Amino acid sequence: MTAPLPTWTDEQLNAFLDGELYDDTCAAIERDLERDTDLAGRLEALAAANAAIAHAFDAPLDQPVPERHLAAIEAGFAAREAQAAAPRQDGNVTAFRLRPRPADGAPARTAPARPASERAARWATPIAAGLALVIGAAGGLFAGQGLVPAPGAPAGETVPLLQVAAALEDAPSSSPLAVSGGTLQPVLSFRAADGRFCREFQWSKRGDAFSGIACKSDGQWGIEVMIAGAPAASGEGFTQASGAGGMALEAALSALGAGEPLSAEDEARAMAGDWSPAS
Amino acid sequence: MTDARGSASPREALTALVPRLRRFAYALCGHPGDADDLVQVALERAIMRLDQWQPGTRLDSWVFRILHNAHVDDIRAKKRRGTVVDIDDVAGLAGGDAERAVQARLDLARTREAMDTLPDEQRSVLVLVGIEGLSYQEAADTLSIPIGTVMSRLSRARKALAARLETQGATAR
Repeated sequence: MTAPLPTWTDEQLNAFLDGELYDDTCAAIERDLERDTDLAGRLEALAAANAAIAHAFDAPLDQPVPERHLAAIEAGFAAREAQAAAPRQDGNVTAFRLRPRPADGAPARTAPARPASERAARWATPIAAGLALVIGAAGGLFAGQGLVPAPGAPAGETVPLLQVAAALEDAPSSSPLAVSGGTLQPVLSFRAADGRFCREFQWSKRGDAFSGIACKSDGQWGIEVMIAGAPAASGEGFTQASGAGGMALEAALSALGAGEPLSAEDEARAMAGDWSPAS
Repeated sequence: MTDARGSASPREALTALVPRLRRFAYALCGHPGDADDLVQVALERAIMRLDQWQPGTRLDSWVFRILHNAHVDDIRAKKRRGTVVDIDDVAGLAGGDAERAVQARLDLARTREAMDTLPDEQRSVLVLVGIEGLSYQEAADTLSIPIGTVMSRLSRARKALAARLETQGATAR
């Protein structure tokens, strides 16, 4: 006489497939598989689903690591080392910690225990939020309503990057100006750890708002990071970037090893020197 | 288990991890371009917060967790922004010679499509266990959910996927 067939749940069968069962349960299922064709069929279907996906996404494993990721790793560690080597008393990266941390953020390692000075407060400039999409460091273009990832992306046709870059060259911070039917607001300027000058700016056109950081190297402005955001629905202006967007900005600032915001005089001097790192 | 504890520097370990991060991100979001954006964000965050990683624990699970959080942020943002249309390049038209290769690519494309129909939280579990080979406990830790939830989501995901692939197979042949 054979015992009545026990009913194994899908969860148990999955655990069997994944090697997550104790030996005795495993053995019991194996025994039942031999006499229960239904059970064997169920297991086969689950195993087939498993096998189908196991290699469906393997393409990246055979590809070389993209340049942008290597660059991000280099930049990230360079920023860390710069930070460790020269912890500046008055800010450097710590200044950025004044931005409220997103929910999944960790406590700041070096929270400044000083009241927000006027300069520090400038860093806390509200960044367009409401929604956020990130383009990683190392250059991004955006088109239409959304953003197009940088690598291989067609040139942004609707956002006048060239005009924005040209305006960043000559516009002092804090004075909005009209650019190609939209408004460009250079927020502030700073020097990156590698000596380049960079500018944080906001661009808006017909309710679409973007925040970004551009740095000038080899005579050209390049976008380091862009965050898409819209004014908060409350009508109270912009709210703080959150989630991926805020993190992306913070990550970019940190990766750049951004120094203190330039004073108006320093900014004017940098501008007069064409933002050349030597100036 | 071969994570890079001890011998390799975090920088080397992270660099070596990139191909798997890209696969993980690709499987999570189903689009290679979006996947690389996610990987980028994850790398930046991981390096920035490296002090929070506890040596001796798996670096890969830790970065997977960061990447997964970034993915969840993205999903929230996209829900507000509206759907993004995805054009996945399904099998380029090859000569009759390469029929088998095309068939294989179609199968993979169908699998990816089927994956795309799963709820995000089920897909995350399936990817971690079924593709990345994490144990149930590791997957639970990575996603900050109880192990029982891992099991039930995994079970639902595989069942839905199996049913879906079966129907697809039936209509495709």
